[in-house]
Amino acid sequence: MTVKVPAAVDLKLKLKQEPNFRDRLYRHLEQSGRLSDLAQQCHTFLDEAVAIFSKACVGKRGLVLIVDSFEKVRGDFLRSEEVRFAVETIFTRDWRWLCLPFHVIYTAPAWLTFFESGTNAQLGMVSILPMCRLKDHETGEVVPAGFDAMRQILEKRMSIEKVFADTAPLDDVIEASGGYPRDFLRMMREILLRAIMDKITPPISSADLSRIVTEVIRGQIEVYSKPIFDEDLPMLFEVARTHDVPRKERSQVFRIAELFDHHFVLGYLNGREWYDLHPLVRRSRKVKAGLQEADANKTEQQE
Amino acid sequence: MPTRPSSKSDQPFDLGQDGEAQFERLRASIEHGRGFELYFCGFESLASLAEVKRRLSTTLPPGHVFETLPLETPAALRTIAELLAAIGPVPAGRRIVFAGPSGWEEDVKAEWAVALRRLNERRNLTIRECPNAIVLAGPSWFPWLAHDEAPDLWSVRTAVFAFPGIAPARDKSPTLEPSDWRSGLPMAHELQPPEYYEELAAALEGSRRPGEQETRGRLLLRASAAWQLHGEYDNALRAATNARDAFEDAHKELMVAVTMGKIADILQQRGETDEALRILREEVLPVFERLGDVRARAVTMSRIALILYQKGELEEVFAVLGEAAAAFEQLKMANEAAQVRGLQKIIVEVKGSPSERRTAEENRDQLST
Repeated sequence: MTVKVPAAVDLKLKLKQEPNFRDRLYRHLEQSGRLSDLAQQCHTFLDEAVAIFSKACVGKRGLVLIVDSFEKVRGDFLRSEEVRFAVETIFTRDWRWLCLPFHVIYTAPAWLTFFESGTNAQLGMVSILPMCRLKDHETGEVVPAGFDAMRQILEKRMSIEKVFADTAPLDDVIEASGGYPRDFLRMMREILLRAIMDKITPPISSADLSRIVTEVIRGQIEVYSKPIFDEDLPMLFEVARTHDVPRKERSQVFRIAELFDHHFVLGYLNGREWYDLHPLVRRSRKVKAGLQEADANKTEQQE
Repeated sequence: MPTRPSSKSDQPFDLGQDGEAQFERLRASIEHGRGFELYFCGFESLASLAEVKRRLSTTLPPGHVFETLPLETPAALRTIAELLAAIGPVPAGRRIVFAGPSGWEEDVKAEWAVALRRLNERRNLTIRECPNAIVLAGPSWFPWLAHDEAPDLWSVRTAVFAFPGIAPARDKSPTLEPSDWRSGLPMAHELQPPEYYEELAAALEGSRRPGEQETRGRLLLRASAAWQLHGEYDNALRAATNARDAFEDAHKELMVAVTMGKIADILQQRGETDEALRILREEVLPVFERLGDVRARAVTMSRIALILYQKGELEEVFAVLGEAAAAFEQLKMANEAAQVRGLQKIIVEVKGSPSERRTAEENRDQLST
């Protein structure tokens, strides 16, 4: 069903392409106290939309709206702080307007997730998108189901048996990914590329695969290691030690969110949320050295 | 910082062992990849960037179409999302889109920061609009800027390629293209409006990396120079003070001193000669002396002499100019030394040489006794 509304299309275009128009519109609505009217109108429209959807989709159990990429909104360089504040306001003060007459998933910025008050209590459940759990955070024991799940991601994309003579070395790649599918696939892509460059005919032998896996992981450790700030090391050590994120101060929250955005810190969910360093970060020279030093100090103190 | 000339030669040249390995990886990625893929390439040498671009445009297998985004100036990066969207896919085969803007390195860095943030925000849209192999090229810091500014972009179907520098002896190209990433400060006629530089500097304000803060300082220095040209000394002073703070954050002692010299310059133009003199003597000169920068010290001495001349303290001017001239002579900077010696002559003409004046004063004393 298509409804053509030329004026609305023009307005949408103007809103998209002309930031000044958007600003003027927003200022006018705010100054005239009409913002809440607009929000109310939107809700009324959505009520009607739900009814139309229900009628059109008989037998369906309901509507779920996914508002993606909210977390990526940073604003231009002159107004990034303003934009950050605006996003925070939407989720903590104006959250009522986000409650729509159907299920909605908003992708919120990571820093918002780490605030202890506000959104969590008011809007509903705010949770991290967890990584695939590969080990138990208390015992450190491997969780085979997690490895199987990661392998399935690969199986859906290729015939593993035809490509690899032995899949055991792939466990090292899964482990190095920390259960983060994008990193897993990126490393797998790099492995296949190296095999092609080395003119290896599939199925790739166990020895060749082991060698390439080692090289690729080494390269990825470098990629992860370079952008780590020295001043972030204490925070990373704390995450490694406590499996939680420090969130005492506002500045800490923003900093940890940055580490989260860059996947230096990964979040997991089983029963409760817990956090750990990305295995590639953990293996980087400076983090490894710091963690070893901390361990040595701990042992010394215990003795 | 890549400042070497880019090669205009059509003849292939060796990128060095690591460079060749990186190129082979890039080439294989392009040949075997599909759909949207993003390659962040950092180059230490402009010559190797030109060579990689040449190879990509001429040696790809059939079915691959090479296209360069029209990014003649760094500011063109502001439309990169629209440019990518306008390209569209190739009906059969694969399109390689190359984006490597040229211009002043500081401008390039700040504009990339803005562009990367924008691409990060509309990542999903770009993936749909431009399902091609996109090669984003810049100086060696570029991939790490992308990491900081565009974490989501970074984590999706991307790969990083770091091309090392090449031996200067292998780079035969005699000319420096005007579009190269250049270091230093532009000439007055090359300056953009001051607001342009202040906007760019703001793009890097949030970064915690010293390199980015140094770049921000350089952009603010340019803003200051542009304000100064417009005769707006208060704004020039504000921009220079912000530049100094940025250099301090980046722990760039030399640049802090250079900026203090700039601040002294502005104060002098505003008629605050005593403060200008104090800054040059107490905050600029000691740094150049400690760092052993003889040339910068000589230039500063000359500037001190000019302020003293304005104040009418001619005797001290003569001595300071003498020190400056000696330093220039030591550096075999004959033109500068001759200019300073010329200034000394003018002082003598105005007031007589110190020895002549000393003799005259002694004669006067003898006569009085």
